[in-house]
Amino acid sequence: MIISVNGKAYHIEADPQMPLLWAIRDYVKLKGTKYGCGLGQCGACTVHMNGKAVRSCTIPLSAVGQKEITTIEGLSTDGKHPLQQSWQSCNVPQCGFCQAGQIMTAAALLKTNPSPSEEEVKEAMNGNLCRCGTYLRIRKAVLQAAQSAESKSN
Amino acid sequence: MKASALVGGGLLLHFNGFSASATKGAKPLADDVPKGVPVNAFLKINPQNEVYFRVTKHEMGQGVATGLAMILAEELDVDWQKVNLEFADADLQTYQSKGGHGTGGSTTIKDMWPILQQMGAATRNMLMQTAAQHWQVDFKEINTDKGELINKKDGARLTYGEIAHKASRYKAPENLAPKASALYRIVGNPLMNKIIPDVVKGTYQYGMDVEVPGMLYALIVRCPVFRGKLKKYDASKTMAVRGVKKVLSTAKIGGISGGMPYHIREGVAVLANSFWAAKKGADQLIVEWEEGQNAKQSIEDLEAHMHQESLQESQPTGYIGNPDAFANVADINYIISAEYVYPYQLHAPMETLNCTACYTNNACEIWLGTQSPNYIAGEVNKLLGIPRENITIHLLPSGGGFGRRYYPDVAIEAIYLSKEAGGVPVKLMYTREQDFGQNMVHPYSFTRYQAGINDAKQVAAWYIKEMRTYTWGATFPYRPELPWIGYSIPNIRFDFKHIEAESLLQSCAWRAVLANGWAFGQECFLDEVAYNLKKDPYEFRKELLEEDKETDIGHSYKISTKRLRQVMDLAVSKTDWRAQKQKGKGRGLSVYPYMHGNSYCAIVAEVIVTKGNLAIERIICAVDCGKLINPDLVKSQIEGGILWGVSALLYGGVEIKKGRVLQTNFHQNKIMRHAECPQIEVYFVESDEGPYGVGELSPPAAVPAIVNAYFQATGKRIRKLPIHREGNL
Ligand code: FES
Ligand code: FES
Repeated sequence: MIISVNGKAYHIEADPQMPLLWAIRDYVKLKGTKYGCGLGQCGACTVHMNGKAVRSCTIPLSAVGQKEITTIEGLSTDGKHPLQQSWQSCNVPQCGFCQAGQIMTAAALLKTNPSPSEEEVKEAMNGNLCRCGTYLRIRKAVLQAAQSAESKSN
Repeated sequence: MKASALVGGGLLLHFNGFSASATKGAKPLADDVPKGVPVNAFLKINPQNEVYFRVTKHEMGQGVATGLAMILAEELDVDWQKVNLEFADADLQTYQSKGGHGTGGSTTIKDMWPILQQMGAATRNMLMQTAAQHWQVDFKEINTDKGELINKKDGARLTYGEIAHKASRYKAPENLAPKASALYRIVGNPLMNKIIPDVVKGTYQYGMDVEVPGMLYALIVRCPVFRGKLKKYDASKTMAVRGVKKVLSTAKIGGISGGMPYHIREGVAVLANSFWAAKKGADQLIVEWEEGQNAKQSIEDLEAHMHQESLQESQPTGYIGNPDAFANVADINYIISAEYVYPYQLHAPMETLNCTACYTNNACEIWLGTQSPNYIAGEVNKLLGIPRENITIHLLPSGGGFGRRYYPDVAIEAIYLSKEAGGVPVKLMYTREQDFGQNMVHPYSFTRYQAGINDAKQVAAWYIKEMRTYTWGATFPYRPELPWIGYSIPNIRFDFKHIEAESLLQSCAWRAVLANGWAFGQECFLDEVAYNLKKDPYEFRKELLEEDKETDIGHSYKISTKRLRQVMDLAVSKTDWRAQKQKGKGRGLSVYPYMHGNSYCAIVAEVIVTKGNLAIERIICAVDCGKLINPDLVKSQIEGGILWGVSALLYGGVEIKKGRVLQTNFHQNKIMRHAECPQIEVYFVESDEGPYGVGELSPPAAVPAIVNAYFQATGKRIRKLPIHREGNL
């Protein structure tokens, strides 16, 4: 099977039922995408599939086909996506384990809704768990990133 | 891979290129830093004047890697932008006298503060001596400025990096006076946590991300019932799964051991060339267990048993004043009594437990995030016979420890599997289902509180009788220890009984440990007493904290009424405490210290209950943790700790039927989500003491504040967690 991750094609020989998460982690060897539950419950494994946020733990490899996968490592070339920056200025992560998933969910939100309200942020982020309890900072950082992106485009 | 002889006679494998793969994207390990020289046990400085701080404590989300680096960087006087973190290997001998690697009890910053101050100051002194020699001037003529040495005579400058390689020739005087706090440039500032740039790029490496050439992935199917035994298994279907290489029993290492008890469940391990193959293989295993007595028990049975036990006569474990006050104090008019239950709780760190191990010839090498490498070395030596000096431990940060990563079980399992598999490197992982269903948990405790009220409507005596599934606290480390009660009550008595033998799960440390149950019962029951006496809960506490005093509760720190009062007054001052109560709304207070960290916390919670639905609107928290190294990271810990408590209150607990945990994943063991998250405000008592601990400070106080607010809103008293499962709402 050939899948495309962050603009590169990877030939993977594995069980077609294997979730995309494990293809990314154990075959493509990109470790930024995390396993948290394997059941679509926590969002730690969130990546983009054709630009949409999806749970890579629930998508069998066979369902990926030609779709373009973007992981946290491919979110920006220089690590300077507005969210990657606001995550720093808001001191968001504690252990950091859930944060790749949080950022990928937030990035997909900002694509379709560049200036979300606080309520919209809460709702969009509700599927991503954080055991360390960084929710308030995530909320703040998403709004801040939206604002900085907006001021740049103006 | 190449093998080389060890001093101890054993063989140890070096994986050429491991450093590169394991630390990919993270800061390079010290040896990769061009000519970086170790200037002391905690740091290296390279010719580019970049500083590499060696993180000896476990970074599991508390922000200690950054906090510790800040302390050292301050005294050393370097440019904070040039400070990098390095997650180094365990060195049990070198660091034994320098704070060790053990991480827990909210003690890291508190204990490392003097050590790193000295380290920083001494290294700066050595660099100054080197410069004085270099310029042939008197030591007094040398000053430093953000990583540079200055010759005061002519203004000449040298970077630390230029002469660091010569500095170790000099010896620094001992007991150098630390910098005056007025001169601080780093400490006290809300700086960014240094791990974040890597976290947001996905390049920050956890134990789960380690890869060792040739490794197999392992999953262990453990007995679903605590203390059950492996009878037999049929692996024929498993072996037919493509990628599965081996199936092994782990029955030999099963059982309870250790000074701080932990339990390894007997099980059957599946080793495969991918996680997915191991998982599919594990799903195909047919296993028969000797489930034992616990298979007949449910959580309700345990609670009934505890209740029965609590009715037996008991002796005081510790007391203040007269232990027989109820019988002997003549003026006790009446007694108020209530029972509180703080149940088992799952840790649920986002990164499930894992360890990568490679065993060869009586030696081993492991990679994991652990709160106690020392405990691992001791237990591996005891159980597997590997000499301590032949155990190499690569320390990685983790995606949450919360006390669970203090225990050595996962390392023992991984090393055992690597050994039994003939020395193949093995990466042992837990699935989330295993994390919930086959794990150790917060102890279950059942406590009866009694307050003896005298004719003057004062609390003359306070009794606490606790049944708990873990001894910790009453027997370790201080004895006798009372729950952390600081109120001026003349007679306090604590009767503790452990019921480990009847426990349905192995108990262990869980963020804030015993303070969780103690604060819940004490601060809620105190609220009950206040209402009974028709006193305002804040005014009532004020009376009990009026007098300045320090009470010996059997802990190494005494508990201070002044510090309790200060946090309480500060938190209440940020609310409209005296405002008229509104229908459906409630406000609750709780005050509790975290004695291992010597810090104090008060929380006011504001809730709304509409049609039985509880919404936590606002949490106001006041903290006295001494001086703040990094106020924003401290605030972050307090926020996270509050939500930790809220998750336990709303959704925690463990359901058990036929000895089995019923929660399998996050849909059944819920933790708080974004949309439910209340506003949190954190205020600090200004202090020049400390620094003290913060990681476990806020969870205990958060729960009773909300429960007390809920009572004010509804008139219903919650005495057992979690509230969602008890049908209270
Ligand atoms: S790991 Fe995919 S949602 Fe949790
Ligand atoms: S930062 Fe630790 S789980 Fe979110």
